[in-house]
Amino acid sequence: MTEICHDIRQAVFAYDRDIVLTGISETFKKGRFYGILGPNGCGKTTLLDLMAGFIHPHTGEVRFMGKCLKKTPKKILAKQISLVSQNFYINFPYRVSDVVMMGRYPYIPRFSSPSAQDFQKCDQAMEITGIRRLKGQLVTEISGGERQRTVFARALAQDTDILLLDEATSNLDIRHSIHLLDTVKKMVREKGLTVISVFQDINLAAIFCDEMVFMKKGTLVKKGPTQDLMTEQMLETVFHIQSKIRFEPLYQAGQAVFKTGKAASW
Amino acid sequence: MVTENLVLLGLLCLIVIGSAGMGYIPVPFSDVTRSIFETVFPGPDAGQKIDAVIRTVVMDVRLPRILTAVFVGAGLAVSGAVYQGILLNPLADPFTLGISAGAAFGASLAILFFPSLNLYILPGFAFSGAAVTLLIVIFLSSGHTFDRQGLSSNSLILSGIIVSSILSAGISFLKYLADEQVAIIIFWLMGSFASRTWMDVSLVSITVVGGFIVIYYFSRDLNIISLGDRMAVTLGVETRRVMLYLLFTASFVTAICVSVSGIIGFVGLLVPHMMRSFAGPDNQRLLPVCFLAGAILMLSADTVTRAILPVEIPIGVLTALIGGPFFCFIFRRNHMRGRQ
Repeated sequence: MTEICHDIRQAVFAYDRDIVLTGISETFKKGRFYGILGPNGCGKTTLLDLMAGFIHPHTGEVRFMGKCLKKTPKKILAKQISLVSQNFYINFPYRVSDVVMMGRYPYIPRFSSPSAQDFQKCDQAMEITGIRRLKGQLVTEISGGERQRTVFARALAQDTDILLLDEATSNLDIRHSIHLLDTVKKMVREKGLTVISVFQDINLAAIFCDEMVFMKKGTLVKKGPTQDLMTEQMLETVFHIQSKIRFEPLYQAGQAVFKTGKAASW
Repeated sequence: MVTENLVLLGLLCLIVIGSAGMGYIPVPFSDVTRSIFETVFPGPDAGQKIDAVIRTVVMDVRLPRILTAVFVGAGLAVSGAVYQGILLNPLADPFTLGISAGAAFGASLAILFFPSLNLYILPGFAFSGAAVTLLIVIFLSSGHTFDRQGLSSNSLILSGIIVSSILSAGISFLKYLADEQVAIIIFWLMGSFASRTWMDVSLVSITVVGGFIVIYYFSRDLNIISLGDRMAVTLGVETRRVMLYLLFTASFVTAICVSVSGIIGFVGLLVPHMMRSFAGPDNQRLLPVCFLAGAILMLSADTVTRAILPVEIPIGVLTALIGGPFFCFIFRRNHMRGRQ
């Protein structure tokens, strides 16, 4: 379980002249659940895009399973890494089941029809995400949360070792968020899946993540086990917000409450 | 899937034969088929041959025009479907990218400077215009260098609009310079299939059929690309490469169609849009249907203006007059339904 999947070395990335990531170096191990946290615009999504192979660093490199990610053929990568991105618009009236089946694209040869196994994987993915009853509906006509679960199901159908989530549960109600993260966590424990997920909700991240990665202004502040990093000091440094963290025995994890106008005098 | 294409193909053949019989000199269907048969199989004189005048009307006057319309319609509809998939926008077409304007500008140049050589160099100039426009549009939309993930659909559309407005001004300037040739340019820009030859037919048929084969080969990749860059890349599609192949092929097809027939709008926009509502968005099914439906629609429109209306209206004007309001209707209805 200690095999390294992603090894990021001095990665710098910029959009035009705005440097988004300033020389990040870090390694990620297989079979763990990572949570990436940080203020808006600190480069979380860019880091995830680098690890997905969607973009490549301008200097430095990202290595995956010991090889340069940029040089690994996309077809091979697609069987190992899947990504659930944050904003997802589909302008074409595909059926929900069609979108999920696109997750099987790397496995189906050109001009072939999906096999029984492909259908089975898709059904499983739709079962997990609870969209089976939406199967025949058009993806342009369902709600935002349902669409996000459709895209999540597509990533699960892709059947990869690494699952990258970019606020993949941000539009979901609390029941669906918890259920999906529970399922994914179970897959981490039982099947050795690796999850690297960007979170907005710190408490949700604390419940599920083995390790946390805090980012700020394009740099990596700290990475380590959740219980070590979930501190009032860390939240103050990264988010400039005052908080109190209490240990919640139910989750075996710290949970934060934040200082607001109402609680100005604690 | 196969049946629907066979039905459309059968319908297309019927309309071709029907259309060849219609016009100033009406020809019965049986004589149309006999003319075609006798030309294709010029066997020994088996008694009564068909009247030479009828045969000339069908084979040398009507069929070239009909087949040109068929392939131009098919080519524009398929290119439209490709642009829509790549630009992630069901309302895109060859015009959105400025490809048609580029081809028109190139062709206007040819008409202005080489008026006597029109027939031979017009397609070349039109394609050069389209290709240069495509390169400029791609260069503008891909940032400073070509090695980015580049080519986002928003910047493609914006660049297309910028470039085509410059080109429209350029075409106006050429018209201003044109003096005696101005009528030719204006008439050509309005679009027409009148007096096409078998040379036009072979040029456009080879281009459109060849282009279709290339495009169909990438149809499944186009499905994935139409859901966005991130998804396409992480699903293992060589997005940039496939997009360039598809854009180049679709633009080539458009340019040849424009050079043969002038600017004919709304076919590339309307046909894929209409077909999507009955064949669905899957390009593996949609593209062949667009090919056949585009051909049927274009030929029907051209037959109406050639043989039914008392005065021949340029086909480009007719498609815009019919297609425009119809498009408004579809656009409005889709908005009411809450999907775009």
